[in-house]
Amino acid sequence: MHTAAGTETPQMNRFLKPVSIAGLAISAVFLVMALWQLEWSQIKESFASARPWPWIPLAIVCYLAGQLVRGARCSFIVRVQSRLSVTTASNVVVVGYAANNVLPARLGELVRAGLLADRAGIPMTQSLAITFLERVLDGWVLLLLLAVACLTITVPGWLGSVVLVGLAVFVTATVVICLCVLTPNWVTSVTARVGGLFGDRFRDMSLRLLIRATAGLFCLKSPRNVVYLALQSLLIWILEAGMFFLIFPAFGITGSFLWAIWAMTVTNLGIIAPSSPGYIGPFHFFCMKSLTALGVAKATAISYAAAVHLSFYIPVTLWGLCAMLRYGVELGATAMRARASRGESRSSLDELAVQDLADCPPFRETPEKEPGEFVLALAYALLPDDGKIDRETRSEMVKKTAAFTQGQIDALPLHLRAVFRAGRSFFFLLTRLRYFKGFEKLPPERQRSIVEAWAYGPVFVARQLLRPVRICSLLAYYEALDNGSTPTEGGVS
Amino acid sequence: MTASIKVDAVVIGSGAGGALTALELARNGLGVLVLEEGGYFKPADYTPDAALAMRHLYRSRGMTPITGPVGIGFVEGCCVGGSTEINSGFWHRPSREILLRWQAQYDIEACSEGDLAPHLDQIEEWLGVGLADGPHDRSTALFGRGIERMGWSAMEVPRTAPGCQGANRCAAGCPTGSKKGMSLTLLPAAIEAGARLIPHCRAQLLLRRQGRIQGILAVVQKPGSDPETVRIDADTIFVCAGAMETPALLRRSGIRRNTGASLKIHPMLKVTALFDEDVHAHRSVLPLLQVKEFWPEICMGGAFLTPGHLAVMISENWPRTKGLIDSIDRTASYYVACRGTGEGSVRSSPFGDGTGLPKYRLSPADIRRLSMGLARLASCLLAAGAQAVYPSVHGLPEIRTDKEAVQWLDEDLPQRALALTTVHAFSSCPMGERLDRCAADSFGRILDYENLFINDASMLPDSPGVNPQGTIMALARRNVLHFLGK
Repeated sequence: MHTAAGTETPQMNRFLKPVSIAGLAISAVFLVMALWQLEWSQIKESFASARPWPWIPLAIVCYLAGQLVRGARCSFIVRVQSRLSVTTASNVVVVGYAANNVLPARLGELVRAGLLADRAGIPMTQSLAITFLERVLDGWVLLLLLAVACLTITVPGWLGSVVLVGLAVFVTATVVICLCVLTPNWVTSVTARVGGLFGDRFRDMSLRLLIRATAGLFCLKSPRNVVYLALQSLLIWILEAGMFFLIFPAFGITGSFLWAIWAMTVTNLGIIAPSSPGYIGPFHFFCMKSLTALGVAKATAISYAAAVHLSFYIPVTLWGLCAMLRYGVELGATAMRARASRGESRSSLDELAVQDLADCPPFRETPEKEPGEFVLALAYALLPDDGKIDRETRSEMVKKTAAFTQGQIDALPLHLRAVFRAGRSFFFLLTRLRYFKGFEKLPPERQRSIVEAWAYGPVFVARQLLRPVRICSLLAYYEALDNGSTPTEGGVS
Repeated sequence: MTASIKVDAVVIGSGAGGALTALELARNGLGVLVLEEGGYFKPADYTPDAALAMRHLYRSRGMTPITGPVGIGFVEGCCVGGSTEINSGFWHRPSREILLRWQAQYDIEACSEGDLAPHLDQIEEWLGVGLADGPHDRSTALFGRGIERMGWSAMEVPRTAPGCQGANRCAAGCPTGSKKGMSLTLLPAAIEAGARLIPHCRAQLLLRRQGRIQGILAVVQKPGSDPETVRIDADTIFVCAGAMETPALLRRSGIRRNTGASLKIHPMLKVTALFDEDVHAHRSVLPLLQVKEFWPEICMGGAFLTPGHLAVMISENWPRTKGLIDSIDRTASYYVACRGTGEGSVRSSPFGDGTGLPKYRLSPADIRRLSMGLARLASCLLAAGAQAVYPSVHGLPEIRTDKEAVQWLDEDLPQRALALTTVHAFSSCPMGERLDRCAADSFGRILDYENLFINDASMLPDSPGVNPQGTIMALARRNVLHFLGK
């Protein structure tokens, strides 16, 4: 496959062969474990009594909807680097799953990363980082859903080790991601130092990989994005649990949705480790184990597992094949087009540096973000209301002043911002305890008196908390009044 | 990393030190690349709104306080030209006394008045340094009257603003181009001599190898595009990113020997004086006189005033002082600053882009000097005819009589009530030959590295007691010519 992932080479063949053999061996071991002491006739009978219509088609629709949400999530993650439609992103995701269905050891993830790199025009390392991020998000959602399911289900002893493995993997991965997102300079510095121990070439390669991988995590810089991604991930796995749930009636299993969540999470956590193509074996084993733990007969459970497996295996493989056929003919070209459209071909001194100050990029004004409720309420309370300007104009000015002030607060160093946020929470708590109401629900006069008591009162810490808001609001308000403009109008170009 | 570039010399920062370094290197035939984190603004781009200027021209929108037991407001420029675009343009030659102190305490070579004089002469010619034309504005004249009545020595401070039209917009960028910031003077000259500039480019890491810096990792933020990390290899690197960012860059690159451990500042306390007559300080250039009677430990002078700045200065006691806003025509703003003797440091933030995190602990001597300075400044302004003086001290809304003023000659101002600011920070990587306290040698070469130099405010060994631009530029030119073997 000629992708950014690389060209198929003899080295790859040498790598694939033992991995394939290992994968097949794992598959065989788990299948034996799953089918151990089970009569073939019982399975046959279970399949014969199954009622696939309408449950299996509905389950497939539910699963495929989940793939579309996965595509939307992928598109959201890469949107900083590239405009990737949800359809294309879904195709990329599905190609990865389809490849996993035919390749051992989750090698489909590499195929998917390669295709994503190609379609989005981003480096392979960055694409791998995005895939890694998606897996970590998935892992946490699975653990969360498992915890929810365990509230109503008697947990079997063997689950502990599955959860421990999952926790170890995801906590480590999350720490790595957090370090890369929150302390990129520190990570770069450490990488340069550690890499330097092994020579310049190794250091440069490590730095190159790190910088590209970190770029793939760019979307996590906004807490709002993190929440959005978490919610998308939750929806993805609820839809997948929906598939498990919809197949219950086909085999006469009368379980609740929590049962489906339980079976889905245990099965997916069980197949985290790279194993056989299409997870054949491990999937069936863990799915069967999860259901027998709920009292479902072993033959029914294994039949159910096989049905669930086929319900995603066949559609996804077909969808993935179609996507591969479509994209396979233009691999490589899209990456170049995407890079060119982003102007990423700039790579020389002539293209980065200006030879005349007039060639510097002109300044472009960007609007301020909406202010938070706290800053807005403080601005209303802090700024003068002496009737010198009409109420509507004042209200507009206060809003824009608050937007400027919010921008200033957001520009504070992280540790000071954290202190400010902690102080804000304390302020709200004390206000609520004192007046049995939220600050924002108090009458304006009361708000003003509270804010003045904090901002100008004898308590040093209280004054310090409100100081940045007070100073920035007053500065912006009076400057805007003097210049006959509102705080975000006019100004630099 | 999508780009890899090789040049003779990289200059990180385009402020007073960086622009001058780039100019001298380029004029001597080196291929010079200047990296500037901020963007470029023409005089016509500047806004009269000080708040908007903070947003666009200042590092982190001006939200870079110095933390410590008493927080101190600090701002610096982050645009092509650095802080020279937003300062008052005041120009001081370093005093003989201070230079002698530095030689005694830091064993700096070739740093006498005579050594620096030719550099100062040259730079003053380039920047048109001189006194104001014509009669003084009212805020200066009133201050002069007070100084005269007190019998103190004082001087009019020369400025890098020939033909200043009194737009009163120094802190927001001079719209008339009278103030000779680096973007109007030395940078265009450097570029004409062959230097190149990458705006919106932040140096992230210096790549070290056995006593040499091989190159720099820098992040370029192209308009409407993702940040791009580029590697720039150079034979020589001059770090001129200012007193906060220079030590931050060195430290996060693993260069920690005496870097960021000795930050010094001039803590500054501002006061507002209300006069009987119209002063129109907010429509004219800031007061140009400075009291030298108590220098170098205590300095008094005029501060920048706009309605927004006035509101901020009197906001410590806002419920009692807010009415002053309506009398802005009759107010003028002044400051008392001391030569800080407290302990300061700069560390690179482990979070975000690794920006410099400054800390400073005021010494008892700092508090004493600020208290005495306030007493004297208030007396002077009252002698000049002020009805009242409003210091930026919480719980001390106004001083109306000499008796109230002189109280602070003997008492210390309450530390936690002070609303201090500063725009002068230096000495975070002092230079000299004292290995126990210096980060660089007498000519700015970082110890243990043969091709890494600093050439900005961070290299000053100690507080100069005056606006440091002249001292920085003189030392920077001396250093770069020494590097060039001249």
